[in-house]
Amino acid sequence: MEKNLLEIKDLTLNFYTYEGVVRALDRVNLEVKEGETLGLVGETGCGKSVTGFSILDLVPPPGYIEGGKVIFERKDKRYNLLDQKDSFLRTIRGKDISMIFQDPRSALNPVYTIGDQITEVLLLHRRVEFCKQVLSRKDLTRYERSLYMKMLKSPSSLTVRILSAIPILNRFKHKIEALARAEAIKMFKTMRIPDPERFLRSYPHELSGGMAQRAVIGIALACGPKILLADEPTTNLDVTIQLQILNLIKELKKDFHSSIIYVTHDMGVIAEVCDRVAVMYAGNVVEVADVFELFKNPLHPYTKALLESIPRAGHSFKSIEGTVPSLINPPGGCRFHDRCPYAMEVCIRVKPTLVELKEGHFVHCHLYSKGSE
Amino acid sequence: MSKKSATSGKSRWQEFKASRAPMWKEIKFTLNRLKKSPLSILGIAIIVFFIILALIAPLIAPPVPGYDEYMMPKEKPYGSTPKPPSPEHLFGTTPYQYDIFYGCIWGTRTAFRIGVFVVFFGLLFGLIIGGISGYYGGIIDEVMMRGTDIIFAFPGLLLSMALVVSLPSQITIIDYGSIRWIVTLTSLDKVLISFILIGWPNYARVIRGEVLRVKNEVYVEAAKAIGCSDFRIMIKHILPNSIYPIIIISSLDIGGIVLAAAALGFLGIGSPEGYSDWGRLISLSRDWILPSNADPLGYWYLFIIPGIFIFMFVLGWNLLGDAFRDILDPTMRRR
Repeated sequence: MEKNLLEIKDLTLNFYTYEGVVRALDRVNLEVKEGETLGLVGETGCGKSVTGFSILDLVPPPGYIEGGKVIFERKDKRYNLLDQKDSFLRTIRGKDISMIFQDPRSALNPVYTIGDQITEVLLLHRRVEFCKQVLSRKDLTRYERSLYMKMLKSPSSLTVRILSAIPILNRFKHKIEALARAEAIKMFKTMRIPDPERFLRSYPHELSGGMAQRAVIGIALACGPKILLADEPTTNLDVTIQLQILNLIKELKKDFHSSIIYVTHDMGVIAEVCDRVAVMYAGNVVEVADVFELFKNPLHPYTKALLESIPRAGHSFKSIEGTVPSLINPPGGCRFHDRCPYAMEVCIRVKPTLVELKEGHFVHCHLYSKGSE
Repeated sequence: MSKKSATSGKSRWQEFKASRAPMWKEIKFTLNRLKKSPLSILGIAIIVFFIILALIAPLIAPPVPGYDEYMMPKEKPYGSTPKPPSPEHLFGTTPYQYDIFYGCIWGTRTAFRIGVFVVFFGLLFGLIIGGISGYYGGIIDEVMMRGTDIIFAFPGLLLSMALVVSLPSQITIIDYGSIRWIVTLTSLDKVLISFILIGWPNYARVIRGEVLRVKNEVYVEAAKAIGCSDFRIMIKHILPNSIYPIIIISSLDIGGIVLAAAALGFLGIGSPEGYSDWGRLISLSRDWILPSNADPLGYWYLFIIPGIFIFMFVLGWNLLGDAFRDILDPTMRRR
């Protein structure tokens, strides 16, 4: 079996709002294996995206991580990302774990060209590598050579930073920027974008939604991340573009050997791209299984209901009875009990645990834990 | 053959040219956009005209050797009746025979000094304070914004008058006996300082609002997700997105501040008598604006000519403010 690249253990997260404490995540457990695509699926507001953000420790302000661990393995060392320093996290964000956002247009900074934005990531994380390449050139002036040596020794050297802010004196930057640009062009060529040079020169508002999403994906993959968090990357695109982007993500995954955490509410997309699926409901992971297993043999009542609620031609689809519970005052016991057709007396009192029923098929429900007792 | 020439010195020039090609394209594009808005061109033309005027002031109005060049020369005999424009005095003279032409030309330099200096430092303080308070929020925000509220609570011109009067002429910054650093403030410096002190809260407020808006944008979140530090996010991602309104406001303000300085000058606060300052120039001839014993508009040159200078200067900056918006904002420019 492949080893786990990322483990989320007992992650609990609250939002402190005016109305009260929103218990957005309640002991979430997840594992991501090397090279797999894990789908996170669930209704709006069930905590899918927040799980993604907490992996990067970037939960927006009223949110606060109460407990749990996010263990990430890098170079055979295991780090709990939640208690690392910010400076360490910055070396992981964008390099080892990167993110694709839902709305590509608002995820790109409107005042910079695509080229500026992708070279920014490349220079943030691969500066040393580019420095070495520049230094191996013969045609450097003494001024440039000394600066690049300095940059190689300490990437955040103050002299270099000050000089690179002064016009004319900052010409030395062009060499390293040209390398980063060449790398970006190579990147976009593998993504089969026509005329990548022109693409790099364009501003976000000049691109179509699909092209903008490609730019975002390019930026996310620029440093060859081990884990790619895709937060509903195709939700705002129309269906033909959606398919292209999904195919692109699948292909790039092969090229870059990264794991993907794919957050979506669309079961069709899950079936298309994912290897394993985690179903979330109201801040809990209720079922984790292989994608074929899940569609063939759903165990949790919520998963069953979710699969039945996919509209299909010729079938009448059922919606799930009741509404999503308020997370300020979540139902005790199993959070699904008030909408569950199989609810028992124990469901109201006791929170079920995640049980492995078959190999790799976990369920969070009393229906099955009772059988094993 | 082409490979051989690619390694020669000429190729470096070509490489340089190629690296600059996008920049040239942008500049051409900018000029093209400007062509479409004649008012922006007018604004730029007016400001360029004033800049040239300020630069060549010693040539067209040579100062009297031995005197401060900013002081208007006086002509003897010191009669109290103004003289109309004549070949010796192109724009005439004020009462007590100050040369209006000289005052208007050198007053351009004073106007630039006041406007640019005040707006630059006001903007700097405003950017730092507004930016920090917007980005970090919480208690820092609260303290800084209440500070700006205190200044907003006073009527601006009145507060600046009070400050000008109360500021000392000499400020001792360090006094170790042998090492001494004393700053002497002229009365014009006091005006500048008082304007900066009452001007920055305006910028701070606008910038804070913009930063609050921009910092919740997804691209700032995205910048965090690629591993940018706080400082980098503020400088590279938030600042360029929040600065457009401020650039326009500050360009309008340069005009406004020159106007306010002129108002102070007219009231007799600020630059000393005889200093080349448009407001002060009009103030000198206060009694002759509508004289009761003579033709009411007979002395028009005393206030109309410096008035035109003030008017054109302010108009130029206002038009330039609109031009800035057209030039700078990339979401505005490519549609």
